[in-house]
Amino acid sequence: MKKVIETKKVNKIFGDGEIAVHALNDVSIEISEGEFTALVGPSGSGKTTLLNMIGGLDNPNSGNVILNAQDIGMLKKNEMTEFRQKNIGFVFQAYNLIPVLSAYENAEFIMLLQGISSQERKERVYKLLEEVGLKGKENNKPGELSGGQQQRVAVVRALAAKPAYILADEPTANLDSTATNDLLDLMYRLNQEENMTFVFATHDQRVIDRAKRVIYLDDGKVVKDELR
Amino acid sequence: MKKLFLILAWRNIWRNKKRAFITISSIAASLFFVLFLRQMQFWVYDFNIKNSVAATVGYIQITDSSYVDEKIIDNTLSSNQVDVEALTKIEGVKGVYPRFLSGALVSTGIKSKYAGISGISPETDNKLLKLDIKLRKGTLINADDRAIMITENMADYYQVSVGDSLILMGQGYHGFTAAGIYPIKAILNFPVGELSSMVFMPIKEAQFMHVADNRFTHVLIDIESNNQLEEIYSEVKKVSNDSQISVRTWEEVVPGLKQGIDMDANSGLIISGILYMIVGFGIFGTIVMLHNERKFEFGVLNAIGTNRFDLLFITLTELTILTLIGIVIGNLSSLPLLYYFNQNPIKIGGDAAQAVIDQGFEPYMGTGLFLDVFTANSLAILAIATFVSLYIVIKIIRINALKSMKK
Ligand SMILES: Nc1ncnc2c1ncn2[C@@H]1O[C@H](COP(=O)(O)OP(=O)(O)OP(=O)(O)O)[C@@H](O)[C@H]1O
Ligand SMILES: [Mg+2]
Repeated sequence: MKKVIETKKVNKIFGDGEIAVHALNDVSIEISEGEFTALVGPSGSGKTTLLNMIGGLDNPNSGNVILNAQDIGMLKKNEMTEFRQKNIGFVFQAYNLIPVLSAYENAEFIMLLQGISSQERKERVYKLLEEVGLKGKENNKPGELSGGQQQRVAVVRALAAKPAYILADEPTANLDSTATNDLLDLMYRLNQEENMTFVFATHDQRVIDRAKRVIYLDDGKVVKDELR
Repeated sequence: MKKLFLILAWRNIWRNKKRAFITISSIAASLFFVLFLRQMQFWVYDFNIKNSVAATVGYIQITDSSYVDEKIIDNTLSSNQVDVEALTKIEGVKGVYPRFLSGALVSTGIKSKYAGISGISPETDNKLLKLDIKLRKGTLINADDRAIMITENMADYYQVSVGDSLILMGQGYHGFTAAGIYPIKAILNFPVGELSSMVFMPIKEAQFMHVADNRFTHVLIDIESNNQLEEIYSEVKKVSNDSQISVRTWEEVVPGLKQGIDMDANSGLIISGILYMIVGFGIFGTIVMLHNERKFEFGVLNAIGTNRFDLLFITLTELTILTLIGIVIGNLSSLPLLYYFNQNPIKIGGDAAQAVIDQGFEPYMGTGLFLDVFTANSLAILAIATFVSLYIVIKIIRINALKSMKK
């Protein structure tokens, strides 16, 4: 299986001196294509920090982060942005859609940045929105969609751009249990059918239950790595 | 690809309708006010320059160099020193008018008083001096007449009317005596200023009386617009390239008027500046609010792969459209009023009139439709908006997706 994410002895320290926080401590993980992984651990254990690292949003103090065969320590700010656009899909906790754009326009946004033709964008977006049960909602603005529907649009936006993997930080935090189940079903199916790689940072037991691999973090260290 | 950016920019404007409305109307209202003020000022200057300069001292005047310091008949120009034809051909020149100005003792035999003598070319000067409007009695003189026109003030003083004669006595060329007795052909209405005690006669007769055939004191050059003053001045200098000849613009001949205009224009500039500062702060406030409101969104957009320059493009497009809408509304809404007062200038009455006269201006108020006033002030607002936009430019250039997404 192709490795899509690899960290080698990654350390991240916030602040310095007395108040320094060692958020990641020699973290080395490998994630391959097609995995469905949950990062879990108590609050403050470093889940978000690690997710940001493998999302190319932050740089480690030491160690290497290799994403889709690219050591991102070499990339400049603008190159990093472009790398994320081409390789990484994001689903954040909430409110990550642009409020003035419709579901359709939000979903096609990254493809537009990638320079994909309008014909192809249309095909992919309509197909995906239908798959996630949002047929007929294409022209709704985020404000006219429920939280669960918004998160599904965010998944479509990430997926439509054909990233190497999708990262989601607490994607279900603001959802009720029906919406959580729907979203999990969707991601699970995409993982099974399209072999899309997912990595979640989560507290949510329902998410953890569905994960195929669970990486436990505590105090910035990987304490357990469980394949199911 | 940029089409969705434009859509995004456009919709972002209307995201906070109240704010968009306040920003647009503050730009439009201040531009409206500044345009009215400046168009009025420039109309007044233009009007005063046209009225007090064109006919009397000329936009540009040519004299003998020595005449500048000593205004005597010995220091006049001879007609072969000035190439009137070449001057007339200069682009923007409306007319070239030789004049013979001097002074003489004017007398009925019983009452005498010093007055100015203005030798004019009736065929052109009657129009330039708007004599048909000023005429109160009699008929205007012709080029070959041996007659004079005087003002109502003088007619009252000497107790004379059309048909009576006045004796003129003064200093002629090279020590000759300048003297003559002339019938009054017309009485004119020049109530104030230098022209109120002026005797007008055909230039030929003035030259004859002063024993100065083919000589004149001034050549006045009338031009299309004061905007071209500098250009035409340098052209005139080229044609009259002779150290014996002095070429001066009205600004040098009547520095008082020039100073009055400059001072008044500066006061207008200060008022405009204050208004622009207020507008600038207004736009700045809008930008700061907008940034706070969108910070999270900018973070998300950058995280998912929108680079800083695309974010800048979207945001600056939004701000530019917002500013341009304000500018367009400001310009358009000012037009009807500016046009109305351009076509219907009003005469100021009462104490206000005296204040205006004291400043050296005629008591008329109208508004101009000068293109450069519209463009300069529109560009000024655009420049201010651009300047205050630097705030958000810097914020976006320095964007850090994670920090922006922190609540
Ligand atoms: N920007 C920052 N500046 C300083 N300290 C930070 C920063 N970001 C994270 N930390 C610290 O790093 C540690 C790990 O934080 P992180 O957000 O990764 O935890 P988490 O596992 O995601 O927690 P939660 O479950 O609450 O989301 C915490 O102690 C946190 O206070
Ligand atoms: Mg977290």
